[in-house]
Amino acid sequence: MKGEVWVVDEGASFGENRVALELLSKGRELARKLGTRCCAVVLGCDTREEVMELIAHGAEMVYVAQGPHLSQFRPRVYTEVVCRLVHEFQPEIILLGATDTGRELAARVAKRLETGLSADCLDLEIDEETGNLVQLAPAFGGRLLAEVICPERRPQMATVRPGTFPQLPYDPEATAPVLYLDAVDAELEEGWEIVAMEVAPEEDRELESASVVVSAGAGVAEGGAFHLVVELARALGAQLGGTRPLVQRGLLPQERMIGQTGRAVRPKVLITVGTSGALQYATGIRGSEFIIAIDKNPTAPIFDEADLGILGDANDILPRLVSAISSVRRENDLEAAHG
Amino acid sequence: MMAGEVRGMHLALCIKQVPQKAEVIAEEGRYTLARQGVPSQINFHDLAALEMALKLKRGFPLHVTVLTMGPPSAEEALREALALGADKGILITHQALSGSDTLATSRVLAAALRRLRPSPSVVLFGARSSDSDTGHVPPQVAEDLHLPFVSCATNMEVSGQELLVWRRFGRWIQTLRVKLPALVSVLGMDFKPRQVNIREIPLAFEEKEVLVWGLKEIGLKEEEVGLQGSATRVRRIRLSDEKRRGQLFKGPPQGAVRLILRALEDKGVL
Repeated sequence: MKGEVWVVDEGASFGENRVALELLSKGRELARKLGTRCCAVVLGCDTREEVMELIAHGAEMVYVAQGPHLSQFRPRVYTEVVCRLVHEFQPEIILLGATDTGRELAARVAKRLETGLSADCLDLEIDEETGNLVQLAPAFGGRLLAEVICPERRPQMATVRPGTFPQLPYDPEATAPVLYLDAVDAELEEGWEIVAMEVAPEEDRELESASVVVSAGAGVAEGGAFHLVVELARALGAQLGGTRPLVQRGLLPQERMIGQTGRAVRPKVLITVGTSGALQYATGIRGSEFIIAIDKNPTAPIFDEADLGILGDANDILPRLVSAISSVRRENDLEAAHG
Repeated sequence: MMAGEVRGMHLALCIKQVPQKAEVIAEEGRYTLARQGVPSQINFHDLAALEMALKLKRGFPLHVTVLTMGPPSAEEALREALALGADKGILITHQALSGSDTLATSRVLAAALRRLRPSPSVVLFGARSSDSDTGHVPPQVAEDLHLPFVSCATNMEVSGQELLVWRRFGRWIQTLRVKLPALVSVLGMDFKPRQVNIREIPLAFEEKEVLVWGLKEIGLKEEEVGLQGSATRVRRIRLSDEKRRGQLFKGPPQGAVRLILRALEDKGVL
């Protein structure tokens, strides 16, 4: 049997997103094609809930490394644990979430094992002829897709951003073997200690998981329509984001910047106003289900990214849109109140 | 004093020259990035890291060495960094280096950093590059050099033999005390790149030194770098999904509002 397909859940991200569960569904698909099984690797302090959740979402086996020394992300210790497991069980493929922790862990493990790693993959396939993992990674700012392979080294490694793959449905009846691993030497020094730590403000974290996002670009800042975009977001109950020029003008905090070097959003609906559609920005919105773009420039590349393009001035359109949305909302509330 | 002599603490900064915009050209069914005629710049987060280094330099004696791996034309990026206030540049260039993936790139940069004298107390990177955007190289160099590593730094201070680093990491805002020597990757937060001081430009060409290092100087063999030293291969490049390009409405605002409302209702968000 070929080596297994592994999904590494670095634990630290469990409360934050469900990327490990999403990776399991893709991992199962890859494992079927290879004739092997898809396993989860969990690191953390108390992992009972996570293990149950991973099994219910498709893990066919779970390797557990747990202990107080793994209660928070310690890259050297985590890297050591994963590398030892790889040496012992020789997996064929390792998938991780492209989160701050997952990225660092993946890069370190790949370096130590001298193997290949691709980042932010949009899809993963098995080459029928060679059995190699084909990793579809965004290249040159997302306009192109590179088919990356790692032909000679093993394991083949890839990271995937949260929200890229759907989860398998929750199956409370699912069972799978769980293997608890011996504790790893906790004396490994990171060379740093955390002296203070706080959770970032709630509002800073909601952009990526929002179902409706309103986003503003330089066109809005220049045209003085920024407050209208804020009102639109409020009327829709949407999260507000924008492009770098808005951050640089101090209209938006950095945490709300959308784009390749900022956040990637994947809402049901994105309304993007006064954003020309520079590549840097477009990369961050392509995961959206439906994109509505409002811009004055008929040749703006943003219209190539949009499902519905509106050519016009935000100063004319937005006030009308906000009042129309508010009256629809009021009607809906009234209907609800009167049954 | 000789030009380039190190006084005070030594800080090394690795930067990357990236194209200002990505223009894709198709030739005989193959896609590549247009490089000719497309102006280059220093990667955004690397500029933020440089700014951080220069801020430290205002507080105490600090020698800033900037390194880059790239074609000979990447010297421009080093000169720009020198004009902004860095002290010395090192261009790592060799034909065999092209095609390096992050594994090979981290091997090259680690080898070069190992050869710096005096050995740097702080090594800085931008957290990511705008053209490939993997963020793998800084942690991989840290693995190679066995240095303490902190990613996503937004601010830092040197205090004695330690570094205080503030960072945004996942859902956390953290303050860390880091033992030196250490490697830190910098995330450009509310950061505005500053303009080069015109008076500094002649200085950057005349008085400040750019060394050119090849493979021999960093002690690596051709098979350890470039395509040969890489684990990954790009099998093919394809255009990403077709453009969406839906309806483009050019009518009056009232019509636009009706269309948007209908779309919001169809998607169930209103």
